[in-house]
Amino acid sequence: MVSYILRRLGAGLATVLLMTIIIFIIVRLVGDPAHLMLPPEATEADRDLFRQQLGTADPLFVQYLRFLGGLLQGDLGTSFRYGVPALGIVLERLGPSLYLTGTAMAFAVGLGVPLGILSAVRPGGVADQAGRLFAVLGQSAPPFFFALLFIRFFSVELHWLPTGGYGGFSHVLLPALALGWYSAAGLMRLTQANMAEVMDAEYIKMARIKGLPERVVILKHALSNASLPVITFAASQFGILLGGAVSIEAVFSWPGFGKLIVDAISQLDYTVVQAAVVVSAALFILINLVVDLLYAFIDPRIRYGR
Amino acid sequence: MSEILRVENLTTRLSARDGSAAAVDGVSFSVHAGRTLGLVGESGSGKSLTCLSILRLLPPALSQAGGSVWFKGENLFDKSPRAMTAIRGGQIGMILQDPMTSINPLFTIGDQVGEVFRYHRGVSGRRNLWARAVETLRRVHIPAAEERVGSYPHQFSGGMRQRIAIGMNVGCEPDLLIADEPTTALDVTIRLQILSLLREIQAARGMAMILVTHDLHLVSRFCDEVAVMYGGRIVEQGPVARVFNDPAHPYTKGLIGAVPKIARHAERLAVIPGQPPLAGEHGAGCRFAPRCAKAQPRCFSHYPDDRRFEDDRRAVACWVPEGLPS
Repeated sequence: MVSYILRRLGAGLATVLLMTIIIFIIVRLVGDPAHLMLPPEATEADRDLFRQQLGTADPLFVQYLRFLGGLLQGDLGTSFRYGVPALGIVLERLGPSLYLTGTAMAFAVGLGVPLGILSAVRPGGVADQAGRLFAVLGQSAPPFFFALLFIRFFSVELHWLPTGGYGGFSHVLLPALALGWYSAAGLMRLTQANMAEVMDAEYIKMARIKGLPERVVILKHALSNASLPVITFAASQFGILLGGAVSIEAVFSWPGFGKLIVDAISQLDYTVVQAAVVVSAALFILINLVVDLLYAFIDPRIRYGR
Repeated sequence: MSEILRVENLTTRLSARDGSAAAVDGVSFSVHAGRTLGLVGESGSGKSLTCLSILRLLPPALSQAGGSVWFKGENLFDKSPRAMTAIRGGQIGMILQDPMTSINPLFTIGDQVGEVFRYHRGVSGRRNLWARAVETLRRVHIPAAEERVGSYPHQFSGGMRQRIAIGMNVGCEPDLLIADEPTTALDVTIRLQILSLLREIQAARGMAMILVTHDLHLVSRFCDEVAVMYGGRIVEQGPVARVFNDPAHPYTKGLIGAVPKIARHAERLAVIPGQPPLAGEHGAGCRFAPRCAKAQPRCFSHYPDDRRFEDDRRAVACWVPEGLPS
């Protein structure tokens, strides 16, 4: 198992490196900071000097080797715009992003999975009907629409919750609900579909024949078998929301990761973009590793197959 | 010899959008302690549904429309769901056809065998449950049960898995065991081993057994009584030797005639022409009439009543039974 984890981490490292090469090239295709950051009246000589200061005057592979050298020492360069280490800027935003995404996913899993189970166990029942409405609503409008709706209702009309800003639970609640609804809907549907399929399995029939209480049949025998795709989906949603919550972060002025990346790209702050990609790729790989370990923990056939 | 199970006029309906049809239609039989009833018939004749009806575990599309199931003198159809849960696995066990799919792949066999002791015998604690599981696995002859109790289903062969499934269902010493084609999915060499195991367990406690199969050889070797089903009804029943030597219903006769015999070099295998009816897609008369060589006009219009003969030990539902005055 340890060797498996090490192997996976090694493969993950290779993936991160590949990502850095790709982003390194792409971000340089977007534009030249020497044009964007210097005033239009600056001379070409000024721009050359500026490029030399930033290090973008060197050939691409020299820049890349320098970047790799820094990466090994945990130095991802200095932000072109703020003159402070890029990694620091990224990590500063990571905390709020994890907080928001974590809360959103807790809401999505906590609501989507039980609703999915209930609607699979009692097709046509109250949970099924309510769940269907919940899923259609969640999947038919973008999160920022719900965000604006929530602010209007809960903050402006009722004055229950703040309209935005970074803070404790009262601050995170509305953005997390708006962000998590879409994932909750997907999780509910996936849980329902998988549970419905598993409930027809022979071992479920056997569990009932053995006279097990229905809750044991559903929560132990059925849910465990239906859980693998649900876990994968939840994990991928977590990864996507972590960097993809830009609209929610913008609506609620949440100092998150997604907004940082968008800003850094539009400002051609190469180092910050690179640092953000390294960090999010590493996170993604870590999440996937955790998912795989969970798989092995749940399914002995995977565990013993290795 | 005490009667363990008496099924009376059991009727199970399949509900569809355009009305409903009887999948099991007025089935009656009984099983006694220490005896085995063979339930034979083609696929779709209602054998498995009859068994699931006894346990009240019908799939959602099917519903119990009538009849009663007397188990040790009590009607199971009057029981509360909670009481049924206690009876299933505790007093009535059932084995399914394919042991590759009937055991949950994600839990150890110790866990899954132990479960019945936890929920029927109130045994608690992993150590105690595993001890009971090991004991049960020994009874079904799993080699090195002590070491293998922590193994997972995929680490066992099909025959071993069927033994484990039997263990899960006889651990609590049921009075009745229903075996729904327990050997159909297994290698021929394993079949007899599984059946002798069932017989051994039956002999130890005088358990009553229902063996669902379409293998007439098995019935003749392992059963005391036989009930032949066709189109959701029992067409003939009685002691195995009598029914097989001297079938009264043309369908039973056809079935026995269709069993290939190695010694006889027939040019073609004997078959019963035609197809069995689907639930609801038959007339008011005998369901076998369209395929029956002896069918008369009344066979198509009226379903024959059960005729009892040979001191009430046999019954046949036919207007023109073999060897009986029609």
